[in-house]
Amino acid sequence: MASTPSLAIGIDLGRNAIKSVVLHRRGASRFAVSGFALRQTDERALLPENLASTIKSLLGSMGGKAKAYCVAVSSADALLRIIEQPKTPPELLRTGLRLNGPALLNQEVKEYVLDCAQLDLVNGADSDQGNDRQYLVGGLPRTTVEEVHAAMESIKRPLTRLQLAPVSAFNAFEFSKPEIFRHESFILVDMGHHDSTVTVGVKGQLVLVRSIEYGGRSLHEALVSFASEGQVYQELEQGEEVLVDTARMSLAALTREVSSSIGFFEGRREETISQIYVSGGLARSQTLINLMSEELRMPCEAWHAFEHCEITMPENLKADFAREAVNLNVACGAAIELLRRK
Amino acid sequence: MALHLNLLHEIESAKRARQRDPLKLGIYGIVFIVLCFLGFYFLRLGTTGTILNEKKTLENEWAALEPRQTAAIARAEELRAEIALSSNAISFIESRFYWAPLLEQIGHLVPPSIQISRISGDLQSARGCTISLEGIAAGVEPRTVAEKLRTTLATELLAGEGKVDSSFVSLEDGANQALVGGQTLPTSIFTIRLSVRLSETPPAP
Repeated sequence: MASTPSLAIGIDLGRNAIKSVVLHRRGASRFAVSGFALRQTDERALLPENLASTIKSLLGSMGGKAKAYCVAVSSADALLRIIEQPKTPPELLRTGLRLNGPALLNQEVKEYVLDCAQLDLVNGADSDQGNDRQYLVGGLPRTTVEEVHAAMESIKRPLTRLQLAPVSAFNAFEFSKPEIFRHESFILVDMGHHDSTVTVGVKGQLVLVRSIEYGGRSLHEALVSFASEGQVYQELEQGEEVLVDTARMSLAALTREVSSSIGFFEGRREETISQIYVSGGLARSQTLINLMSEELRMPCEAWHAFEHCEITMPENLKADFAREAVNLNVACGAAIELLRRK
Repeated sequence: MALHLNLLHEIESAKRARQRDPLKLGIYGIVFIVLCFLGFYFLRLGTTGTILNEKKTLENEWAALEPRQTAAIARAEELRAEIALSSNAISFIESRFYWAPLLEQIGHLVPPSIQISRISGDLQSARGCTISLEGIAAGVEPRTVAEKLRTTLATELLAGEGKVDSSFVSLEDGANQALVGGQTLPTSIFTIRLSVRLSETPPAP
């Protein structure tokens, strides 16, 4: 088995932007971030023939080279489910899911690469309660997996792990706020450009993942009709009333779904969620965080995964990093998965 | 607890399967064996080449030496014949028996009252012979004179140079009388047989 690397690069392969971070492990629980990069992309840049050059350009602008790379993919075709099954070895379950997708996952998955992980483990050990176990099933179309792998191979940056973005965000939250992760209920809202992901966890266990078709693009389209494109977020931060009202109305599509997710969770379990953790591009705006808090009647907090990391990058990058940190959680989660691999 | 999914597992499995492909491993094995054989072939080729060169050198040397060897063999045959001849001559010389010194000593030991009428010798080997002495002894007691001669020959002949056994073959009173020193004395006829064995050290030629 390969040894755990001390340096890893995590890449968040989104549909609107790709991001990367370089993380170092400096001790059992000491980590440092030494570089990051963020690049807006369009559909053309993510085509198979352009993907390698897009990633190469991103890594080139960030600098640094590592032995381990993890790519976390955000894709409309990604599959992420929680299923209940009798205890089954993961290898067997993968095959079973692939061959019996319609019955177990309600969709045909023969062209998917699937992986699964048992969820209801207590401190890494199997619980004794009942016969059925909960498994997280993640999958991507085989073509996507092969394209990403080929792209990384072609730029001589061999891929060590391929992950789904919501899973990386979940792992990043564990890395950033371990006490809350282990002892409380929490809800993570990752607001992307096309859609947002709501993840609910209780005491270290993932209990709900869902995707909401609302993202930065929807909000942007709503706001630009009231202000010039370059000034819209600046005016929103300044509290321009029309923009704030418009944003509140636009965000309602998201907050309604988040609220229903919370209701669903609290209705099924005797747990309450006391705070919402928001990340993604829109989490950079404090006005939007406040609007969400007001709409959901619950405190919302923008979080980033680097709370316990040393920042070892040039001073001129630190300000940019502080602003973009909430947008780098997935990349951080991908990298930390390699550094803490057992 | 952190979640660990890895969607690369199929690619990794395929890669591992490729690495462990029996056909590929078999081909690697065969290539390795062929390379070993090739290496062995070239090694043997080099060794054989060296041996052939040595052989050629030796053949050249042999071609130069063969007439000399033939001549040497012929010469060796000649020398062997000469050596054999010489050995035969030496053997013949070394196996000679010197009668003259023995007869001279016998002559000195025979007293005036005895007349040797016949002497004959028979060579037994290079170092031994038998001598038969026939004669007439004259004296007051002629048999005693003859006995004295036999005893003298046994003890004094070849003194220190060999061993002599003497015995009478016959001793009879003679019918005639002999005049010795102005006295007429009776005679006896005797035949003494001497068996002579010389010591191992050969006399100087």
